[in-house]
Amino acid sequence: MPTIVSVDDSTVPGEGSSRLLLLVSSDNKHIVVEEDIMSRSRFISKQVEGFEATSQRHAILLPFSSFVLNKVIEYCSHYRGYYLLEDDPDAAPPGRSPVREWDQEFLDVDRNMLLRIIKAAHYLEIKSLVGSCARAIADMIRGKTTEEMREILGVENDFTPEEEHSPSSKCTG
Amino acid sequence: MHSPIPSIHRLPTELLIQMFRHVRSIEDYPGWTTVSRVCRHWRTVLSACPEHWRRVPLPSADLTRLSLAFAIRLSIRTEDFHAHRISAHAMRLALAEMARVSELHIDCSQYALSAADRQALCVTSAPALESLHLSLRAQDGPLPKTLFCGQAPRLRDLRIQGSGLQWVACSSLLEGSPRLSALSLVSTPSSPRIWSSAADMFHALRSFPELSCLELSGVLPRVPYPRAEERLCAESASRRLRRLSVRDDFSVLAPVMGYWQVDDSVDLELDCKQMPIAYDPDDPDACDESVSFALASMLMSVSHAPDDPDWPASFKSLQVRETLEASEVRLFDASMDASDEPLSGSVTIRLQWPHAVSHWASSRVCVPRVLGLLPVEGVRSICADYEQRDWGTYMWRHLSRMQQVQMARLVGHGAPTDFARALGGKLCPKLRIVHVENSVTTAGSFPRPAVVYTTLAKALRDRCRRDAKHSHNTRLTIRDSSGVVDHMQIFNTGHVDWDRRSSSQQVYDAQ
Repeated sequence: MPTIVSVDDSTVPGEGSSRLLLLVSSDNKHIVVEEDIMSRSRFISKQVEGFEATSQRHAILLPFSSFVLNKVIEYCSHYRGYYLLEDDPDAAPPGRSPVREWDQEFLDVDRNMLLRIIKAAHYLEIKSLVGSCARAIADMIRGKTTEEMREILGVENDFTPEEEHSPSSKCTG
Repeated sequence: MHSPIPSIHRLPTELLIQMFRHVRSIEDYPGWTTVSRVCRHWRTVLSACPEHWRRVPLPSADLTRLSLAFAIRLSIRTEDFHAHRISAHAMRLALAEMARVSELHIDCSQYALSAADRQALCVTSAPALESLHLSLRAQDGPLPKTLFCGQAPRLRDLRIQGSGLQWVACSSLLEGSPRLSALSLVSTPSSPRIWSSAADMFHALRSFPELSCLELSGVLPRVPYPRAEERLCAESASRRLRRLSVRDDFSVLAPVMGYWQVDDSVDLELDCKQMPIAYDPDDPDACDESVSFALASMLMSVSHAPDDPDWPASFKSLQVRETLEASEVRLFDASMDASDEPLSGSVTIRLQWPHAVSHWASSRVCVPRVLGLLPVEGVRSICADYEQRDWGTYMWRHLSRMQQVQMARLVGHGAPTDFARALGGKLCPKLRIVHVENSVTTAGSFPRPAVVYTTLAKALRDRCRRDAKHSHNTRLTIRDSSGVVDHMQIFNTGHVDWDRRSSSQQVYDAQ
């Protein structure tokens, strides 16, 4: 569960047609963003619904850095007002995420950053971004050998020689 | 300050599964199986991901075992491994799990079914099978008669391809497959037919109430013109069809399609391009006259409403052009000759009736029926090539519908006679270019060409007088291969100035 702290209304200018949210990253950076931009996040939407029920506005603390948070906000800003099928809770989930050119450029980052973004997207429940990240990771290991996959993703080979030799042997945990 | 570098190990399982799903969707074999060899955690996650193992990795018996261990439904498709050698052992392991197989696609040119495989296909039913594609070679022999013990209740998609297709083998299977929605049977025209009569075929098709997509190639029964009860049978067999594709010899296709009254909404493809009718112009009596009836009926069954502006395009998409070619009727979207005045955007209907066809008594009924179905209302140029006078009478009857015709090309000594007669009325008000190519100057009971040409010229001149605004560039060109031109008359009136250009080619211009 995120930590929610009470904030002064003067801190968050949320009145009027353009409502704003205050997001606080794990490195204690305060980022003000329009509520409309972050509506793609199911997590944020649920928080906002909570605000409306209690008539109190809060800052939302998030467990990832401002660097990652800004990347997520950049993604949400780009698709502001766009309908993405993956984010529609009423739509049938698509079999696979569509390839979007902008997403490919946006996610052209190193492996560590990609893993941070997908974790943040998962936390914020932005399915379209999770799907794009998963596709990007799959693209990184596409056509690679087992050893190359381990190296790219920093995975250690923990198979016993017998398990590695026979793929159908059961892993004992 | 950054958060600690996340390890892919620490990603939630659902994210890993999503990543593996993408790997499976973008990777061919063996790429999508490689992820199971990276680490124990991934293999454990994959074991909880049965969808990942649905496609049985047929080149490796070891991986096949993994797939059989983790998957719930199985998909056995040889086409997924076109670049790899399929293991007979892996195939045997997979076929032994037939109760879980939902897709079975085997191309025998890639993997020849062994006797043990055939036996495996017979000993158990296929309760989960939804899609069965079999591509057989001649040397593969017939299918087992007791395929899946005749039980595949969920089968919706069946495609069997190969020469010597044995319907007997399929019939018991299909009786146990009432939910079939797509059926494709592809054989070669020289192979034995799987149905002995149209009634048998339609009876078989009627047992699939959900059938919406049907492809029949080289399997239609060889039947004479159908009886009335067979027509009724055909209607009920195609009630829910959305797509019908039929390829066969024209002499086989035409009688069957002649009474297969397919709804206009059906996406229909008829093709006999590679298998033309065996038509001998020197022996026209050898042709079954029912073919002409069938042709007319077929046109009716495929035609859209005549006032549909898209009709010609639809007609072409149905590949009827090739179908009609076999009966010497051609539809094409082109101007006439390069030397002719171009009519951009015009749709030309070219009718070429072989001389021999006119000997068929039925043709006097058939031809107007065919013509009556053609979308001639928007036609701007016409070309007629025929010899028999009677044909012209029937053909030009439809001139009353061709109000947009601007150019006509007439070949054969039967053409100008009737055309001139038609022009004597008020037909084709926009006609201003007429080419006549007549190979015979005098013949039997036909009027002398001089009379014909004079009538034509008079008709055109009268038009120019009536409608001076549309008379610009009106011309009549007569090419007579016999070189006999002494019967020509020169008209010289106040509005029309006819001029003789050469002894073998008479060009008359109305300035």
